[in-house]
Amino acid sequence: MSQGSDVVVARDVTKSFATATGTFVALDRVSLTVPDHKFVSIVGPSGCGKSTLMQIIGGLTAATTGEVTVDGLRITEPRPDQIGIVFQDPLLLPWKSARDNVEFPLALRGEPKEKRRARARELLAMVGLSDFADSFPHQLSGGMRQRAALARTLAVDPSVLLMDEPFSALDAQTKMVLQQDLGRTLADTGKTALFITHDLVEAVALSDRVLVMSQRPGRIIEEIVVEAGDRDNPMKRRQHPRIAEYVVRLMGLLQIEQAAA
Amino acid sequence: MSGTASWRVRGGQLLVVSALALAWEFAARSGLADPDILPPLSKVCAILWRLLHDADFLADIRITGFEVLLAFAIVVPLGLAAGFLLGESQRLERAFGGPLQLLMSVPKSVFLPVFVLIFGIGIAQKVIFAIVLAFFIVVPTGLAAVHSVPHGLVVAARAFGATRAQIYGRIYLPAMAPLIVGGVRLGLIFVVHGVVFAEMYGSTGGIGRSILGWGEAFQMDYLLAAVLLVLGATVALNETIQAVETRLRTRNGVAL
Repeated sequence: MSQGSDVVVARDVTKSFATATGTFVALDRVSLTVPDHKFVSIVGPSGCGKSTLMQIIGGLTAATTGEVTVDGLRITEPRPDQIGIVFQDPLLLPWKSARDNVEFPLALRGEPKEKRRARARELLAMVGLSDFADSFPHQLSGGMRQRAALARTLAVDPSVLLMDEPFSALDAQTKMVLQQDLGRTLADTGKTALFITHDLVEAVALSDRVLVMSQRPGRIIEEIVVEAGDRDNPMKRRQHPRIAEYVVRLMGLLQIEQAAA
Repeated sequence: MSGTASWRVRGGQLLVVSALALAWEFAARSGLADPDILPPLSKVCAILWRLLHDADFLADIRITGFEVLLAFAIVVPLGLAAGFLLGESQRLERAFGGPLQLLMSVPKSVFLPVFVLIFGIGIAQKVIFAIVLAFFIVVPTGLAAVHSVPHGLVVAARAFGATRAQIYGRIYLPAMAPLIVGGVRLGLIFVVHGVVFAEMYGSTGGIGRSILGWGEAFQMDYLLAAVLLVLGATVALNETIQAVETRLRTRNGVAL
């Protein structure tokens, strides 16, 4: 892939914190690129700094050293027009209906009401929540909430999606359905995605490339290109004969068997 | 289902209150209780009715009402603002959290003689005492309100490009609403308490002074009539605000 098509570029990103016992290094010179329209996943052991990396790329936290650019612009603060973030928790506003939650990012920028309504209707239909537009978050299931959160993130049509373990709190079946929806949605909208997960099958089922992070201090130790087709159909890709091979390779890189022994 | 349950609870509450009222009336009329100490409820109610048409007593109500409103209008915004600042600044909270806790536990009524010496026995003394009493109740509510704002919602709003003002207006305010209303309610209760108490200690007017006067003259029927009035007014206000609070709490639920 050529340098010109890389949308997200992180160069030598280090994040360290001063603590009572010394310097705590969360991320150690992490570099990565996400090419245009590609889906890249990051897997790694818990506590390796995946979420911190995501926050830095999203402009929510500053890197100690190094830099992140998105579409060639250096990230120093959140850029909702370019970067949409989906969190592990849906983080819907409990006092707003699903529709008003989806409209929220548009309301923040003062979009007129009719325009917001129309956009929310379109997005809720896309994530299959048309019948639940007036429901409040506590009336929705976990999967529905995460769908509403995805619709909200897509409301302002960012070109890049950052997702921090968005399906990790869902049951296995709901998770597969949402993966399928996400695969389709991203293929339809042509967005660039950076996806954090600890679910190796999920990473392989959804991604063009999988980046493997080491134990803390987090570094990227390997990049695996998934060549199994059907990126827009994760259900089908799960059945591809090479999937197990990729998962085994990831297990090896993450030293999962050694940890279990 | 919850509707029926709440009706059952309300029915039960009504039953208890009615039983107490009947027991009061019966005890006084049968001679079980000394009618000089506990006059019949019906007589107390009749006196209350008469008092509500008595120009002097109405003037007392106006004085007390004015003091309560004034103290309330000052202490609730002041206390909530102070609590908010403490909650928003770790440094301030570390500096003032301890002393605040300490001052909360001090019985404010022991300072009443000092208040009288400084501010006299006019309206100012009663209002200021009520403010001091309620302030240390409202501040912790304001502090708790800030702490009740889910951090994740703030992070998400930032990710969607919310400005600081938008975060305060669209996340903080609705998230804090139930506890703010709770602070309003507690503020009101403690302001009423402070004003009436200060009036009883030393005052030239107000319901508290009347209650004290009737107590000293052993006019239990009049005293109890005034007590019923204060009781009824406070309970009604408390219940109204509580209903708003409960609605907001249900609406906010848990951040999902």
